[in-house]
Amino acid sequence: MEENANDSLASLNVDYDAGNILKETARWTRFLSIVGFVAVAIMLLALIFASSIITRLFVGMVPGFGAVAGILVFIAIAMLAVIGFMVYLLYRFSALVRKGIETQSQEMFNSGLGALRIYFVIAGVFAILSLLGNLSSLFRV
Amino acid sequence: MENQNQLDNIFKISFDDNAREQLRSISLWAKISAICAFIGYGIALIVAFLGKTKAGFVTGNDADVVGSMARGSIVASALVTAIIGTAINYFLYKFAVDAKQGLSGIDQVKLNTGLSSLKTYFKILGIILLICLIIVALVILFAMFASLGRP
Repeated sequence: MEENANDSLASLNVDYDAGNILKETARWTRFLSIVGFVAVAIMLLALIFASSIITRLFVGMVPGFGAVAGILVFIAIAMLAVIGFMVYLLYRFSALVRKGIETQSQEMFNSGLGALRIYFVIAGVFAILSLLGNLSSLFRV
Repeated sequence: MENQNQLDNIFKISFDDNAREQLRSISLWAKISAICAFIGYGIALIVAFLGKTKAGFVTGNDADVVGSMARGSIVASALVTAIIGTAINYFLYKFAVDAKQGLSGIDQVKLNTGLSSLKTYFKILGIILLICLIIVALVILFAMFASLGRP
């Protein structure tokens, strides 16, 4: 019995402090994800309804824009889909970690951390891509 | 026995093998993101300071004035972005380092410090988002009042 207690103390646990910190983190990520959902929806609607107007405007200003307009709209929609997925992962993290701590469910807690892991993997890939973009702009100076 | 039950209640959720693996991966990718961001801000500052600003639509002496004004605004915006971005990503980097050390050394205090940095990171992002939302709301309000005031 004593050995079990020692094992429990020697391992890493979601103690009172960690639980509170994670709950507050979940509150902020929930806020970020809800605003993110709304922003992605507004941008998607704007893209769908205003894409033809924007394309017409740019065709007048940049010759040959019409040929690539469709590709650009597709890229924009794909980007919005990825951002929407990231926002969903952030929401999933906040919901699962909070529920996991409240109901003392290890499985839910781990699933929440899994969602945050995928979120940071995508964020990391984006960070690497944007760094490459920055590097290319450095060589153009 | 009673103490054991209390411990069981508090520590029912632990950072088991699965959770530790997830956290290790999170801290690795958070570190990559933060380091890429730091380098990116540095490059953006170099580009802003050394880059040539063209004012092709203006000719003569005005071109120099417009060019220097454009350069000034580019440098200022790059500086503000770098300062805010570095402050935010510092907490992400601190989370990555502390969480990894906490996991490797089975150090609960270090792990909690790391998690606290992650909380601060998301908190700052949330506050910045709130400020942006307030600015957008104010702009929309001013635009509405301006359009109402017109004959």
